[in-house]
Amino acid sequence: MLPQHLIQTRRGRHDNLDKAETDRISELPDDILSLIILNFTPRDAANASVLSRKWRRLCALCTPYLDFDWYTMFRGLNNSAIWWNGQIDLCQQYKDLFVRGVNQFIQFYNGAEVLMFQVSFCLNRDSSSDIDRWVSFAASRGVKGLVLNLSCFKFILPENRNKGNELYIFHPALLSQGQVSKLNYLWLHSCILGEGLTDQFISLKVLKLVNVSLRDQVQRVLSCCSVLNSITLADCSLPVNLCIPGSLHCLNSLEITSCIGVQKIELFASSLTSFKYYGYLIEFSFSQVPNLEKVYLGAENVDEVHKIFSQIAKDLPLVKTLSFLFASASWLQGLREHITPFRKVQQLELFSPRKTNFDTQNMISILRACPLLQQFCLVIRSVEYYDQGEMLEPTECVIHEHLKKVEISGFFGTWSQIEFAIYLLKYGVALEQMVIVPRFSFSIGRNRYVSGKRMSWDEGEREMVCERLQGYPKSAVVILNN
Amino acid sequence: MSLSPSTSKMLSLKSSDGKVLEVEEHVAVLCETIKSLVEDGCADSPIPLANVDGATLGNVMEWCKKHADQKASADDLEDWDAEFVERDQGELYHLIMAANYLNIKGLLDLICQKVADMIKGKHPEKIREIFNIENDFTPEQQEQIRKDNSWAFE
Repeated sequence: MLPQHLIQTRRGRHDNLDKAETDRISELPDDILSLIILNFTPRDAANASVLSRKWRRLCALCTPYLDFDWYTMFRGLNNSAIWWNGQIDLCQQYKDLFVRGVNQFIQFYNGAEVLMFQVSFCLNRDSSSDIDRWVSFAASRGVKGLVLNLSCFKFILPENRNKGNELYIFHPALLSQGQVSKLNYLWLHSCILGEGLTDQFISLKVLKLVNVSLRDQVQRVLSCCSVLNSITLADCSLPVNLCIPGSLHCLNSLEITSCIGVQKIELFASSLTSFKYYGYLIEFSFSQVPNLEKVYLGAENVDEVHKIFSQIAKDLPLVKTLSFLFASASWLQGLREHITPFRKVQQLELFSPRKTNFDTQNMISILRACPLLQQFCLVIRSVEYYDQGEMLEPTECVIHEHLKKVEISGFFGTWSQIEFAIYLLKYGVALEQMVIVPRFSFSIGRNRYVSGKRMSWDEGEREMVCERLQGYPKSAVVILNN
Repeated sequence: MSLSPSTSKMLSLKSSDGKVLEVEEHVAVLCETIKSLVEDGCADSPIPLANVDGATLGNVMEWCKKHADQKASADDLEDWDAEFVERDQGELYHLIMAANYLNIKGLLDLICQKVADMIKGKHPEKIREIFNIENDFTPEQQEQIRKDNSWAFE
């Protein structure tokens, strides 16, 4: 409620923008001032706590989402140029201040509840007793989401990855605190998962582990997480045979990227709808996950693409969305002789980051194997010469009656590519939009694939492509510049 | 009851200082407080808003009108909002109180973020000066509070 006297003394637009004559902000009711403070980082809150008694009381309750990282703790120091180029080891230099900051802040914090507790800083086993204290603190306030990202910010360079024998050991027992753990979101990065897991993961819905060694424990961990919805494992070392058990009856999303040691993945979680894998192509057992609708497969080594195609087509008859990344130059070769139809696929994405011979016939055979296809995205890095390719052989006429949207990136108008585009315009009778982009760019996990040379059309190319595609009765062709 | 623009009728809103503002219903119902009145059939004309003065009500409705516009893109709204909050502290104060009273979450969040941004990253003495906040600690207390969070002052 607005006090009457304030309405009468309301100032007009001409007041000084910078300075207040009366302390209006502290007159705000507590609940509104708290909404302002909700936007504060720990550093802002610590700073404002010295203003007055009222500010101190409210800042100590600032927000139930506690987030400690470079930005929230050392605002102004987040200059990435210093990080990358500087000779000084900033992690080491600021580590003590960071640790003391978090310790002091949780002492200062007076909120009854902590919903999210997040620490992202380059820390290792030396700080174990402090990190243990933070986890216990969060657990004692009923934490629902916990993130410990202890990697160095230069993690992507292998030499900067924390070494196994220095990694912080996360003890699940810290989560107990005499009560049932409410944790439903856990993300550990560059930690070791310690022994002693009992019922702490009983409410866990999302588990994300990055650079965590799981060779011996992963089956035990998975058997303790009955309500998991989503699992992400990246840069982890896994057992030779990874089994995603049927006891995970709520699991609908599984992502395994760049993990080592694993040679076979068996999927028994029958409610799984989305599966993403990136790494060396290994053996998969898909026969127990008939509800899988979305599959992303990125393979660094692949010689016989048709084998994995036919396995998916056979084991996963319901699959609707397929994405493939093949980091092999020859994956398209010989495909058309062996391809098995994907009866239900509506959306297909193909990423081909190595220079590949754009083979129109093989490409068409993939399209024909997806009779219900509605959306097709192709990101391909073709060899950069103007192949004169053969004219398309007259084959029996197959019309793509569901295909509505096509996007081709890495297009620069070789003979084969244009043949392919013309084919789509001719036989894609329901085509609503075809987007053609010269630039080749997409990302997967930490890897971003960009072709440095081809950011846009070379001179005259765009016009040439436009001209070649003219006369095909589609108004939906969009040719982008970059 | 349909609240779509095509069938929108006009509502009269009466401010604390007796000014009457005619506003399209689909704009005014961005205020949850007014929306409940309309939905309960209690939107007697004019609706008395005892806690909002005329000038502030005008500003609030200007915001609602922009945000009720289906054609405005997210980027467009963001730019528009950034300009909208460029006001003096007095006006911001009245807008925050009005947004709270009229229950307009989007506007309340916007102004709270703006005020937070005026504080964030500044030295406490500077904040005190800008907002004219009186220090009611004893020097000893002040010293202790700084010590408790010494990390933030280094």
